Amino acid sequence: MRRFVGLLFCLSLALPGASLSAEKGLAIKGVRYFSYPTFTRVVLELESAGPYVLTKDQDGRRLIFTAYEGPLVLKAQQMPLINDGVVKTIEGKEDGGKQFIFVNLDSAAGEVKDFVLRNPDRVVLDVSRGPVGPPIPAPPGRKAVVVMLDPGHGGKDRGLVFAQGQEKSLTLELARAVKKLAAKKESGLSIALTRERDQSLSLDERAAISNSAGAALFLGFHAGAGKDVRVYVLELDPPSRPGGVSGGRKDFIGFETESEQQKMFWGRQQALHTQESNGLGRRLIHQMTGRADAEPMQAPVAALGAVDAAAVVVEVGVELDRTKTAEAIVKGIEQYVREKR
Amino acid sequence: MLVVTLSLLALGGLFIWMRTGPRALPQSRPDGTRQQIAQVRTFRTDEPLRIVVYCPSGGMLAAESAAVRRQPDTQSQARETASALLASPCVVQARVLSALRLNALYLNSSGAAYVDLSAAASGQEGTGSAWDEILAVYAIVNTLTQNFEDIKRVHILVNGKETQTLAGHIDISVPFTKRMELVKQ
Repeated sequence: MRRFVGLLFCLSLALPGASLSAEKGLAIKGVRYFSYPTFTRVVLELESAGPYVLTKDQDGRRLIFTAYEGPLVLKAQQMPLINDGVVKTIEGKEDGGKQFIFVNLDSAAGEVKDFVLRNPDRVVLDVSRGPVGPPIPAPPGRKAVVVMLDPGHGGKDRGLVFAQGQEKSLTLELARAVKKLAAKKESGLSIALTRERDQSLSLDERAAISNSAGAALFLGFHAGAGKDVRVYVLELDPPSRPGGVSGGRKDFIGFETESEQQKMFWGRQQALHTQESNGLGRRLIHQMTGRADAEPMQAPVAALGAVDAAAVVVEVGVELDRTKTAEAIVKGIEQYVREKR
Repeated sequence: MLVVTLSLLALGGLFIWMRTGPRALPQSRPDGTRQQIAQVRTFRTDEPLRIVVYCPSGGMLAAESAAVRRQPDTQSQARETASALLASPCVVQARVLSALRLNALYLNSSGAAYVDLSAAASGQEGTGSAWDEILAVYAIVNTLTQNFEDIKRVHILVNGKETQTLAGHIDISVPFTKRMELVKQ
């Protein structure tokens, strides 16, 4: 059996009143799932966080989840039947006196990522749909570069309201325009959107959609007043940030030591892409404003910390010509990808 | 003769001491309490203190002079200063910042200020752009760090708790240091 995901020793001691954690076990009180266009998310709701082991069986068609030490107690009343092409079923099994949860994968299953979220505590398993995210296929003979466009806001969160419309609609229109233009140009980009409609998504969900699709580039779109264009990247290790890793969130896993593994934990993924993100930001500013020497603004942008790709947030003034803006964004992406190849 | 001379010297010394020596204790009030004259003179709370506040203006921060009441210690003075910023006329038009109210401000011994804001607009998307949020955060951070050399970094809390953002864009769960490049020259 090949171990493909590490052990998470998380927070069990930090949580008061966690009886099972004190025994180094795990109690699963519920299992939920969400089917997205690019991935399926399985959420194991825990009574309290604790160390776990996630492995894959030999033929790679089944994920096996159990407690690292102590018992795994399955309190969930029902296991969901998914059958969305990525995950077939989830089942609880006992083997050799130990309890396991099996996640049976389907033919479209691709990469698997796991992480812990707090309050309430849960383990999240994201299984991507296929090796690459959706729509626009790359021209034959060249590997597609997956670009994830993230239209800001959505659903109840309408964003700012301008005479030109609500921010959530303006950002979606811009993302669609960029996707359409890139498709026309057959530039070898596989463009996907975190949301294709008026839908509410958390910042974590947006990052998870991008990461699960294997995106190499992530562009978050927001709208601002006037004709200004601002491109943000995640602030590079400011002295005020503990641990020297940008974007790490204390509510995720409170490790004390630095390691490659730690950097990969949720909220800290962007730390590995800061140079690429700056490069992408510079190309976009150049194409959008004509200024070749301008640098992207470094800021603690909440949406970028968990993105495992070259990532920027672009804030576009609502008075700018939208078609020209979309063209400039496509050119900026193309320039960056061309120079990286 | 000697007795007369010594008596005259003693009387002269007493006269000089009464004219130039330490002040007599304040007179007792009719109710028996004494006036605290010395304390009032030490702190001079009647004189306003000139400070600089950083207001969002024209897409940047602008330094503006303001006067606040003197306070007896740095923490109270920092609180007065942050309140003055949020009540400043220049903030009225500033998205995100104009919706914030100061609940409390605490300093610790290692140079960190904890600014607790009201939740009136916090975490609510639609109150400003990412840039508005950046200017709101650094208006507070720059105002405190520039006026008080003891304050090296600023933690922003909402209703006493660590919060991810003020208006949906900028991560405020980590401490901030000043950024003077955001100030209009």
